[in-house]
Amino acid sequence: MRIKNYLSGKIVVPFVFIFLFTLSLFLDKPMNTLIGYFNILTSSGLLISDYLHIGGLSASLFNVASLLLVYFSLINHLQIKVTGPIFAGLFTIAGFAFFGKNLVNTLPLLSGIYLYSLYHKIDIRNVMIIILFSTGISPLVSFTMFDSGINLIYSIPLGIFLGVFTGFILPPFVAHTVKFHSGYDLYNIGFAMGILALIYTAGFKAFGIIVSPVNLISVDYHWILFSVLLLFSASFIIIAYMIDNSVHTAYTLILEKSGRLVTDFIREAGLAPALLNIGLMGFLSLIIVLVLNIKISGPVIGGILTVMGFSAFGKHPKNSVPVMLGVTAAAFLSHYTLNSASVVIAIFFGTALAPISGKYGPVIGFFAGFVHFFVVQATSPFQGGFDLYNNGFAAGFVAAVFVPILESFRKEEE
Amino acid sequence: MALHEIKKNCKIVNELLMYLMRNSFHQIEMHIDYQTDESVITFIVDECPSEVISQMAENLNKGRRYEFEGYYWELMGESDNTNQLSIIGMLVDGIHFEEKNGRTKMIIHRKHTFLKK
Repeated sequence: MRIKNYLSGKIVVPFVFIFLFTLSLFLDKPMNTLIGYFNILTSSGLLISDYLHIGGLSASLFNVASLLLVYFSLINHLQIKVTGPIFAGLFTIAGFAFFGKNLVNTLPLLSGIYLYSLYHKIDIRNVMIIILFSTGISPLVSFTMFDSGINLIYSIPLGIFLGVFTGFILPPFVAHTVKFHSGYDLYNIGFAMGILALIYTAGFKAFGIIVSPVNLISVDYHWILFSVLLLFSASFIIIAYMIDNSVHTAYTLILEKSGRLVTDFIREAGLAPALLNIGLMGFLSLIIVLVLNIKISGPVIGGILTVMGFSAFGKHPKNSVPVMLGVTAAAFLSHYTLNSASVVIAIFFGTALAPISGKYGPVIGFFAGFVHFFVVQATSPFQGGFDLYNNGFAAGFVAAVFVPILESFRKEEE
Repeated sequence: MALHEIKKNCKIVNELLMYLMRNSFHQIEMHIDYQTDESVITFIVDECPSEVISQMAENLNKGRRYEFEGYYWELMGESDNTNQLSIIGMLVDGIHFEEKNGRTKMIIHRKHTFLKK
């Protein structure tokens, strides 16, 4: 009973980072892990910097576990309940800790948001969701520090300053941008940060520093990562049934939701159905991996963990599959290879548009995914790779075009 | 005074007004009592069906969520055919109803207690 109560309060997050930390200790010699971790901390982190390629598997898992530990401890210290958006934020951090996020480049952003809360005399809990998702622009910090070509004496303070400054201005900006797409882009902060990344990229260019996306990817650890995801997905389903052995009946409540922001499945349907949904979405992602013969790299496991995270906050099979099919069809009909990195990432992260499918139906969801695939190919060079949530950036534009048009037809129907 | 307190109250009123009008209430009285540490928003309508009362009570009595104070509240009052009662539920301390002479009074409390102490 005590275990069930603990799981109810914390939603297995501590078990995830303890497991990953333990795994990292056994996969390689400690010295190799430390060297790999140092390489991760001093890399640019620009999209796509696969930490599996830069630091190896053990160091990447250590990076994921350390980030989760810090952010989960903060949540625990502030006595914030782990609900849908908090869970989504933590799993998004875990996912992107495989390609772009680390303690060096995320903490300045956290400090900036903390300063914002001090300046406005508001409780830091009020901006906790923004703190979690703000980590998506962390490459701005590490690129400035280690890859901008500026002398380290100046580049490190400049990187910290840019991170703190960005964190400070982020809360009012993200609150504003959510209106642009009416809550139909689940990665709204990715949209907001894409705009900021565009401005920073242009600023760097003006001083002769070119920022452009990189393509460092490793698929050497496919089966280990596949097994980890399989274990996580199965665990969520088992825990869901441990909490409520008739959870599948309540699960239909989740499938009825459009998923539009703000839909907290834990609040709306209960913990057990939300956990079941997380596990099922994990399995669905692994089925896609097998069917399309995808090799799991850092960004792919990042995409799957993010999908699982948002399965507590808007995504479910009914609203996600049409979007995934739309992205796949667009890639199939154009000149892209179906299991190439850019396509695979778009399949998983394109589910940012799941609420469009949930609200307007699977056919519209399919077309949203179809259009999204083309837009996301254009946004990456546009924002330089500072915004790790590039799909969120692209999805914001797609939703902003689709939603007003669809809403106008609904009004005519009425 | 807390950040965007007036704007949040106006958004809550706007969203609730749209919700009631979509539910075919076309004569609505509204009153807002904006105090130092609490806002009390009151709507009065004629013959409110039990389904509307139960939907509002279910959404607005789920409990305040402080982490939503800094984000997402801008979505209230933005859509003309989708209700965002769930967001209001995260931003208010509760709702109660009073029935008198065939009229229903809906009283919503929102404490301004999330300020840093």
